[in-house]
Amino acid sequence: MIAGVPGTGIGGIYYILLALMMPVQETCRLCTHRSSIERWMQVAAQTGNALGILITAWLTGWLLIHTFGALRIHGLGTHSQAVKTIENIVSVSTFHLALVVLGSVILSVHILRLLIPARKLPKSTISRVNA
Amino acid sequence: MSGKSDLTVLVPAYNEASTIADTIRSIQDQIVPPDEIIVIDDCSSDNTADIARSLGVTVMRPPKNTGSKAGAQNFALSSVRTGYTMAIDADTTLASDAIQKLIPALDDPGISAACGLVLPRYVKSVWERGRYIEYLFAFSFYKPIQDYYERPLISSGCFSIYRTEALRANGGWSTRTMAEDMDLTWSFYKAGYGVRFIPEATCYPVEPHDFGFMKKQLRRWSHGFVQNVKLHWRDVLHISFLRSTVAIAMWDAIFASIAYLVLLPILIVFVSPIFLLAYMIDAPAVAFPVLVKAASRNEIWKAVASLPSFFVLRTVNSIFILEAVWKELVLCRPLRVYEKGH
Repeated sequence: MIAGVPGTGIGGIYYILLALMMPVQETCRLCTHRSSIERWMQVAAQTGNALGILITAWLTGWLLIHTFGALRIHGLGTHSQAVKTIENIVSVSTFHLALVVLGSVILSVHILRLLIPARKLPKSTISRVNA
Repeated sequence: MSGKSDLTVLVPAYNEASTIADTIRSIQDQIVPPDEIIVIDDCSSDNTADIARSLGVTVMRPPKNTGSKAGAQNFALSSVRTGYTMAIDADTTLASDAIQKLIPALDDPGISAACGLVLPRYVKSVWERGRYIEYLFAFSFYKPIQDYYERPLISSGCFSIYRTEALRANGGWSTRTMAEDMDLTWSFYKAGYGVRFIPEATCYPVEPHDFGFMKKQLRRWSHGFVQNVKLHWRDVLHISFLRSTVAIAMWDAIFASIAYLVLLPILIVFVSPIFLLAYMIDAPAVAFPVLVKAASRNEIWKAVASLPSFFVLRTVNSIFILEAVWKELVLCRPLRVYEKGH
C-alpha cells in the first residue's frame, strides 16, 4: 500500500534531500569499512534520481515563467507583474515555503521525542532481540 | 532447517476463483520453491478451494469467515513448521525468481521481514494506469531511500517474507487496524527488528480496474494509515528515521490534500485560472524517476501513456485520505469493516 499522496507537498522535497545526503552517509560508512560497491550503486541511482527531479523541476519553473509571463495572463496585470507573480508562485510555493515547513515538521517531531518518554518493551521481547 | 527453502507460503483467499490458479502456479514455478503452500479458503461461496486442491496445495478452511486477510493468515500460522513464512494475496503472481531474490534478505537474524517491488499485472483502465505510475514512482524513488536508511515504511502485505519466530512473537497479523502490513512492520521496528526492501523481487497484483473497487481499497488504505499513526505514534517517535517519514506523510495527507481540494479551487476561481497548473506542475519531476525505471523494464511508452492517469488517481487519493483523517481523528469513527478492494 502507498500511504498519503505521493509526489505532493513536503514529502517530495524530504526524499530529494535524503537522496542528496546519501553520498555523504556512504562516505562515512566507507571510512568505517561498512560500505560496498552494491551500496554505492544504490546511492548513485537515488542521487541521480534526485538531481534529475531537481533539474526537471527547475526547467518546468523556467518554462512557466517565460511562457505564461509573456502571455499576460488574465487577472495578473501587466507583463512584468505577471512574470513576478508566476515567479513567486513557482519559487515560493515549491521551495522556500516547503523547506521551512519541512524543517518545522522535523523539528517538532524531535521536540516531541524529547518530551514524550519511550515506552518500555516487555522483557521477553528485549531478550529475544538481543539473543 | 527443513526441506528446500524452509518456507511456507500462506495464501488467504475469499472468492478468488478467477485468480487463485495463476497465483498458485506462479508460486509452484519458483526457481526456489517453498516447502508448502497453504491456501486459506475464508469460507468462499465460489470454487476457490476446489481449484486450489486440484493444483495440489494444502487448503484450510476456518469454521466461519474471519472477516479480514489478517484473520485468515492467523488461522493458518499455527500450522507453519518452517523458519520463514510468506504471505501473498490470492490475486498476486510472482516473477519466477522472486523468492530466490527475497529470501537471502532474512539471512541477517536482525531482519524479520522483507518485501519486493510491486507492479500492477494489468495496466488498462485509468485506475490501473494511475496505480502503475504511483508504484513506479514510489518503488523506484521513495522505497529504496527508505531501505537505504533501514526503515521501509511498510513491508507490503501482498507479498512479503517473514521470520516465523518474529511473526509468532508479535501474535501474527493484528486485526486492530485496516492495514495489517503497516501495523506489523512498525511493530517489528518497535521490537528492535529490521525490515528490508529488495527491488529485484517482483510481484504482480491485480489492481482495482474501476472506481468501485478503487474506492474500497483507497478507503481501507487511508483509514489503515491513520489508524496506525493513532495506534503507534508514541513508539514511532523513538524509531529513528521512521518518525520523520511518518510525520511528513501525515502532514502531506492533511495539508497537501486541503491545498488540493480547497485552496487551489479557491485560487482558481477568485484569483486566476493559472493556478490550475498547480495540479500538474510537478508532472515532469514525477516523470523523471518513473521513466528511468520504465526504461529499464522496456515499458517507456506504457509509462508515458499512463502518466496523466496518475494525476487523476492522486486527486482522488487526496479525497480519501482527508476523509480518513476527518473520520478517524476528528469524529473518532474508525473504519472497522474490512472490504476487499479487488
